[in-house]
Amino acid sequence: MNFEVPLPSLGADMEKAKFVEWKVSVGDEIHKGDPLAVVETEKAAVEIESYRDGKITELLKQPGDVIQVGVPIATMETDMTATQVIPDRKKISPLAKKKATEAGVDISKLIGTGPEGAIQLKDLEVERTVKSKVEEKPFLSIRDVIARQMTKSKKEIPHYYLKSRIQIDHLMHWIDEQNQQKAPDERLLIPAALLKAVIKVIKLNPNFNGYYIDGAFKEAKDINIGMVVSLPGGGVIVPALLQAQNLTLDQLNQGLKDLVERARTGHLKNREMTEVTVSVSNMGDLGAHEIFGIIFPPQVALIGFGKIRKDAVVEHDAIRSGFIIDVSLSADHRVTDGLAGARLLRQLEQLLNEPDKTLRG
Amino acid sequence: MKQELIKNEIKKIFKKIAPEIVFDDIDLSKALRDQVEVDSVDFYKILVEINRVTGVNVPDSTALQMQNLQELIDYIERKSEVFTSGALK
Repeated sequence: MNFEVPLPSLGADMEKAKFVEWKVSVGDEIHKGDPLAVVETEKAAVEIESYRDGKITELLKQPGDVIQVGVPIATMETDMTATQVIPDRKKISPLAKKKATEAGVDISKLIGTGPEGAIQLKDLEVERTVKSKVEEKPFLSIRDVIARQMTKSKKEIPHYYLKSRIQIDHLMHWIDEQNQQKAPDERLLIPAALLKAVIKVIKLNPNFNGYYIDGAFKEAKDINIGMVVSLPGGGVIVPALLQAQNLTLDQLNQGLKDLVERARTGHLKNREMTEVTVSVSNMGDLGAHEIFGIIFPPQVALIGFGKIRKDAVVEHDAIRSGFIIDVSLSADHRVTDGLAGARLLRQLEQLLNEPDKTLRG
Repeated sequence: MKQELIKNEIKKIFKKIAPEIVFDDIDLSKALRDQVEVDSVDFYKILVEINRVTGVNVPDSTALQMQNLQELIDYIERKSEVFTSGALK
């Protein structure tokens, strides 16, 4: 059957994009995950992937077109029946499903703009507006986008904050030892080691990994860990390392370098922009000792790492110099409380102090 | 002589990794972070290139304690075996 391919959701508060180029032609056979096109949002250029197998039958947009999320950009022939056209992974929130049923709306026609293509309450309105004339509005600056997103976060999310100062002499020694044995371009980055520990602690504390949508917390199946990346022109972007729970330390290391490079050159994929389940900020890079970050909605947590530095450490009643790092947790009080947050930080400290056990594999 | 050779190699590396930075404007005796914005990924790329060009691996625990680029140059000078008669790896 012929299927209209919509412009998918490109992240919270990103409602439209400018079309840049096609990666396919009419007649091409494509598979789920193949690149379809490149579009530009207010923040970055993003590569759109196909969500299903099929053959491209028509290309509806051209470079320079400004398109709203949900508007068809191409058509394709697919073998899937109408009931299978909505991918298994597209979810609908319980509240949206209830309202759709009450209003007699055909759920199969809805385009989800939530995480992982989830249909949210606001998408019940999109189905009506998609078919109407697209109103051309100028692109906002990256600063405006950040302002909107952070204002929304502070208004809607009751944040709580916790901090731990962690001694990491064992970790630094372990990393130095590893890097002595590695070729220069395989050098292990400290942020990759920190990420590996975060992924392990999130596995132990799944209530910090997911979304708060329509009044309920939805735990994410995968850990798609978002890394705050500074952009050359100013501002930050938070792309995800997808399914990070399945990555070895070496894969995480390489993935991190690749992700940062692609974030800065405008070659991110739309899933990397829209499916972050928990974020990490490493402001220590730029010299800050502590960061108390603002959660990116609809996520429910953000972990911040400050600058790694030498400081006075008390051990067996004696003071010595040692490497320390301040780690912070910003979390949504609707989902977790300080007790759970403190437990997470304590477990993270234990993981960072057992690098051979935590980081191998 | 050796210091100048090392400085020139670091300048070339900066041009490759962070071309927007004007290396000659950097005061080698002051904290790099106070003068330019170089995050950990960029800094690691610089250390990787230094290793590739000079054969000197600068451990993270050492790099983190360096206050400025002059300390980095001094470290490479102490550790490097290749900066003799201008010969580079």
